[in-house]
Amino acid sequence: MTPWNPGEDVIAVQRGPEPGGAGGAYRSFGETLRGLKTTFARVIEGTNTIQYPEEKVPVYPRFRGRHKLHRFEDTGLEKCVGCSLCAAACPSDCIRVVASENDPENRVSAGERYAAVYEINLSRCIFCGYCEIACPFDAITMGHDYEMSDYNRSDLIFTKEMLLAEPIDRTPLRNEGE
Amino acid sequence: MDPVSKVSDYRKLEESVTLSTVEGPLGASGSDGASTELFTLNMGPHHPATHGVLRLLVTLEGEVVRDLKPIIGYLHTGIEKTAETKSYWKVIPVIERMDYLAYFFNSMAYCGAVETLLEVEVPKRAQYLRVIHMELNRIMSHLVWLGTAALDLGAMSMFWYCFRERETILDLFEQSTGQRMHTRYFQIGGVIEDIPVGFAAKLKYLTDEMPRRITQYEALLTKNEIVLQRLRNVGVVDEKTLLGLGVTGPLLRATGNPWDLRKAAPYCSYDDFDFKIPVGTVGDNYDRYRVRTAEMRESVKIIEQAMEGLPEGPHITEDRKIALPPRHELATSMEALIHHFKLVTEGFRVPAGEAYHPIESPRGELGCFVRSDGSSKPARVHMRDPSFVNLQSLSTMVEGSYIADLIATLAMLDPIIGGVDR
Amino acid sequence: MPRPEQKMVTFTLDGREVSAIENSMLVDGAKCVDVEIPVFCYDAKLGQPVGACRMCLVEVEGINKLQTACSTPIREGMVVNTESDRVKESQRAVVEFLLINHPLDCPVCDKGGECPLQDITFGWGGGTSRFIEPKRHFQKPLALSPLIAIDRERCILCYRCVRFSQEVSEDYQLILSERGAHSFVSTFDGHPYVAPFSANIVELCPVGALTSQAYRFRARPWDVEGSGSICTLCPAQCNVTLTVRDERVLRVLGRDHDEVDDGWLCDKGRFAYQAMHVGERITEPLLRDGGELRPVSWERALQSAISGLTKAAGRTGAVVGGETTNEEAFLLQRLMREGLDSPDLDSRPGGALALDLHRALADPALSATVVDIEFAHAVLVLDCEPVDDAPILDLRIRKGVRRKGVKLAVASSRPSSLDANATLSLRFAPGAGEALVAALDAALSGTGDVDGLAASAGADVDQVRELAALLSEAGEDVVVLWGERLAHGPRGDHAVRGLLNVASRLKLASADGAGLLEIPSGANGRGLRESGLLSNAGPGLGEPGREGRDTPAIGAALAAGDLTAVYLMHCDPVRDFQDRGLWNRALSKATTVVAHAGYLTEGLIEHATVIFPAEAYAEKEGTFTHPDGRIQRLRPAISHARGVRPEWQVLATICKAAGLEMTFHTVPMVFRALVDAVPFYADLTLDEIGGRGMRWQQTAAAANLPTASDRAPYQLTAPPAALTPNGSLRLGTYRSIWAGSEVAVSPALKFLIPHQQVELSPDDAKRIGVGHGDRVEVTYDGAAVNAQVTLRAAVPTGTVFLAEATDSQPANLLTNGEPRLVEVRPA
Repeated sequence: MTPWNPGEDVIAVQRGPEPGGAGGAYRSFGETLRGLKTTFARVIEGTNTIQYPEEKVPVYPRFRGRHKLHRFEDTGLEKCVGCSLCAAACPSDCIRVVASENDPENRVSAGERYAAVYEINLSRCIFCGYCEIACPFDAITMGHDYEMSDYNRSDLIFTKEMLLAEPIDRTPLRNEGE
Repeated sequence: MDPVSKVSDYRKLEESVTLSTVEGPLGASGSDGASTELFTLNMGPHHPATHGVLRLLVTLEGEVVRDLKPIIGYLHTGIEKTAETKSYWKVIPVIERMDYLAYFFNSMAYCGAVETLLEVEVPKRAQYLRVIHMELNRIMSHLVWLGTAALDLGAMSMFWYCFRERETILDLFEQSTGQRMHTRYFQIGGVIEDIPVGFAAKLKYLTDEMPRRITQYEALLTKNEIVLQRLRNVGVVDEKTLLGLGVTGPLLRATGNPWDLRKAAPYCSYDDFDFKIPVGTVGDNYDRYRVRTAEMRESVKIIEQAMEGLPEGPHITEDRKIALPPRHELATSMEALIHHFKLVTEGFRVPAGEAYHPIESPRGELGCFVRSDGSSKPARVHMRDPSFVNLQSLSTMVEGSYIADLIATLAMLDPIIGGVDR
Repeated sequence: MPRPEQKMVTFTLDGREVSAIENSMLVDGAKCVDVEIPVFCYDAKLGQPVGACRMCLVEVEGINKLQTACSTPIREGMVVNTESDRVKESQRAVVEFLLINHPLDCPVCDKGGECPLQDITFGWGGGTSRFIEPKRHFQKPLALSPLIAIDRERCILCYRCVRFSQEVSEDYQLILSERGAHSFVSTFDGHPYVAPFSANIVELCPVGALTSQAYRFRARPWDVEGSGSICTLCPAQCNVTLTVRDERVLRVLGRDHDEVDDGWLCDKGRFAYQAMHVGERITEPLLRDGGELRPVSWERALQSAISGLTKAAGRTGAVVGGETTNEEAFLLQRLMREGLDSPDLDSRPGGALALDLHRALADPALSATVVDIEFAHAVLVLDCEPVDDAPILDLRIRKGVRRKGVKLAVASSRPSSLDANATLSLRFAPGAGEALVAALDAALSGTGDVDGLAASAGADVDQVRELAALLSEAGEDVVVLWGERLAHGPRGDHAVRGLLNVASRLKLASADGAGLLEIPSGANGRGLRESGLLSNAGPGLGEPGREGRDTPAIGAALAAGDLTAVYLMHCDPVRDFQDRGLWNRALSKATTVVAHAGYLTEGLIEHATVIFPAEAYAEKEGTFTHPDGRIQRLRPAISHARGVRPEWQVLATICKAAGLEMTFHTVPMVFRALVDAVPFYADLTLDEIGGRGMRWQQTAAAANLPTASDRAPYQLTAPPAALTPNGSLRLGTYRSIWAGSEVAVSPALKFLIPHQQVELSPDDAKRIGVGHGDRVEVTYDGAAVNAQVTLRAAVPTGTVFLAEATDSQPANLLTNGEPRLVEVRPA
């Protein structure tokens, strides 16, 4: 069997000089100076460091941070009907939904059913956003908050009330196309 | 099991590692008995220079490495097994987390295998978008390698430079996919959404900038005497040995063998693009360095071509039995709602069969084997990860060399322990 | 009737040669080679196909139009194509058509995820819709009954529910109203659909149109796990799958077993799971302290029980109810016989039956299976009401009559729900079963005084003769389904001898599909007897060593002070047994009353000294024996409620304290010991029993059954004549399917709790001067039951019927197990 031959598509890389010797002595100075020139020339490019946490990196619109549950703006009812599709889609099984029937006098959501319990265990979540994709009502979306660390694992189980509430600190967001 | 027997079992396991007792020329020439003594050293699993939780059991004779045994498994995640319990689309975010610097490649290998089983046509636009992201990922992975490898050699600034460019690429990923790592952007049949407005401009900026940056890196390293001393003619292994060990990727190409799956068995429209395969001559650490930096330039070329020639059309297959229906239809079409529901909860079924899909990852041949039993969950998923195979060549590379070179060689080998252990 | 011989034919399906049963439907034949033809309306359980949904259209060579695979019988040499473009196009078209009016409810619909409409749309549908017009609308959701919600928008008019109601359960309540696109499923005039088997339509419905109210929005298929077990609420022992989420049973589904339940469940079995998770359930040991039951620690409860029982060693009795497993029964009889030296134990509420008769009845040749009912030439339902006593058998009888042409004869005191299906319905005086079988025996043998015996039974002599003629002429396969009630009372032996005579006259032992099938009064009645819980028989119907007292005698001995302690396993004699007065006296006299109970019932509240919490059947592990001899496994689906311990361990602990050597660590070890002790169970292993059960009669070890020393025909003694109702009325009692703690505490079933009602014939009512709904007082010797009158034309004149085990005014205020005449007067 003949070995596979890509023909023209191959380029050989340069070997570089043999280290040591006279050339080595030259390079110890010459090439080091050339390197220093490269380094110092970068000074004019300014700093790239971001002073986190004082300064926060704005995220892109598609960024998948902490989940948010939504209400209808006009009626104030929850968009979530407790269908559990998000729980089915979740690869890390971190969503728990227990549905219940709406009381017509005292509605929680628009349809027949609503989520009586909606919990996301954020210490298990991998932020893949499949829940957002699965949701047929846009009731759950991935928000933009990425600061979620806590001192206690149990505090990382977010309940429905926490997910419905506005985050305390808003994460800066870039505009579309920015 | 009681703790005492656990400890003794572990000891037995340790003792089963046969340590080399070969005494080399150094020991033979030593005048006093003490210098001939072999010294066994544990490097890792938590050592800053092992690039992850890798444990190297090194037998030293003085400063010379006489034997080396990599001991792996400290980062075992059971991802292959986990994949068997999830429906096909839910495997993607899981499998991405194996080789954590090549997530687009992981999902590409997996999606490719499943697409082969499904015999589904991936739209051209999706293929180009995949190529763009994969090549960005290759540059990103090589940047991490270059930064950390240079750091291992003592070059601090390289690390900052490389990670600065890497940041730009991660920003691009965030913009198009929503996440900087483990993006689950590739889905079976295409990509999950089209690139957003503004992505092309940012990408253009990067592809314009990148060759200049690579030139800067090279100015710092290529002819630097320390780098030359540390890399050139160090860790030489010939092509035949590497082929025997199954090593692929830049390591193999550094010996002059131009094996690159993008050319050898083109997938994902790679045959549409004009690019070269950089190869080395000797197969030492220096060649490995040069091959990878040259590859970055080639990747930039591919991205430019792909972005320019990006065809119009759907970004994912229009087969309703595989891809989710468009979201706007969910509110009006019963068929769309049912398909959405079934795809999300149960997932599509894949015809029974087996498929192996190899692709060229930054580290070599990354193949995914999927066996389907006809259900909606894979019966077996196995990854042929290049890091695992390449790591075997480490002892051949370093035997007889100094322990300091071991660090440099390991850095140039670029193993990712997430891929080794899976 | 011998089962129809199945002829195999070969036909071509998608180019493959397939061998299938001739005249079976294409849909079923295709399954032989794993080809799935989508269907909505077809279900083999429902009988004749109707071809309503048009989903199963296939191409049959030689026929121009596409054919419905569900109603096309397979013929030799047929060439069928299920994958041609024409078929696929029609499948896509049917799905699209079915979906045009289907509401976008998947996210809120309970069926989502386990919905055939979803599956078929995903599997065979086109994927896109062209329909943009407004959809049809109905008011929704509506309650079809307190158990079932109906959503008419989702209905695809497959007729399954209507066919079930019309042709399977034969309650004739569901109908299809209106025409065309406006058609909808409803009941006459919108009455709630309440029937013993109503909720089967929830499981049948291929869409989310009919959903369970109790399971409404409780869980999604991916939230739950299914766990196979059996239902232990009645002797029918239907196979069930329990739906479990977070260690709670949320739903009970049928686990199709053709030889037990035919895939149906009664509403009690389907909804009484709720009783496991209610506040009324006893979940910790209770001890009587200062006259009141108080929760105590297990150690203290066990200590009190042990000291009370051991103090009364030799003077302890045990009475056992039907929910006890074979393993518990085995341990309990060892405790009584060996540990406490008390042979007084019984599981038959009506008193002992001679050991020889037990052996004769257990004879494998004489035993009929559940399937035999369906294929018999004739079935005699004798002194039992299947719908109350073992509901699922009622459906089996109806199926036999409707689809297989079984001739049905009903001989009972109370009008039966099967009368309408019966070729012959015969009424006899309550408690006169013995005289009736004697009369039947005489009529069959042609010797003896049929007229006199029929008169003693209070039955019409012509009807007895007709019955005899029907049974002897119908064919060789005759199944007699008889209730344990027949053998109750001191003359039970004579009644059973008469029954065995009838069996021998009809040669039931020689025909394969013929035999006797007893419905015991307890769910595991048969298993308890075979495990040794009889006063006069040890395990395996062996000699007991020392014969003890039977249930009525234990009551009497307790009342008389001859026994001082009693162990009540899953029964409350005051509530359940005929003689309430006796048991009240007996239990109040006893110094120690140890009980295992799931719920506090009146007798226990009054008299129990120690109550151990009973396991719910979803928590229990063990084996049950079906009335036809099938040993079935009960498997735990959920962990024990906090505070509840496995009952076999409680028994083992007491056994140990009583000085017995107990080496059991698990239930299977107890089962092993049981199998070793019961010679005809010798071939059984838990593995072989598996999920489908195994009849011991079919194992080689069945030959180890001890044989009866005396064989039928027996010489019968003259039965006592039925009481003559001159002015007063004969009292008959019955136990409703809805009587029992499980129904009383299950929120979904509470509306069905039976209240006492006095069933009178119109003639008697007229004579007494009361009408439907009037309150009357039924009295006997000073005791009285006060309830409303229900007039039933079918009730024989001169008889009054009262319900047992009702929430108040139960019939056993007036009864003691013997025939009685009562006075009825307006209250």
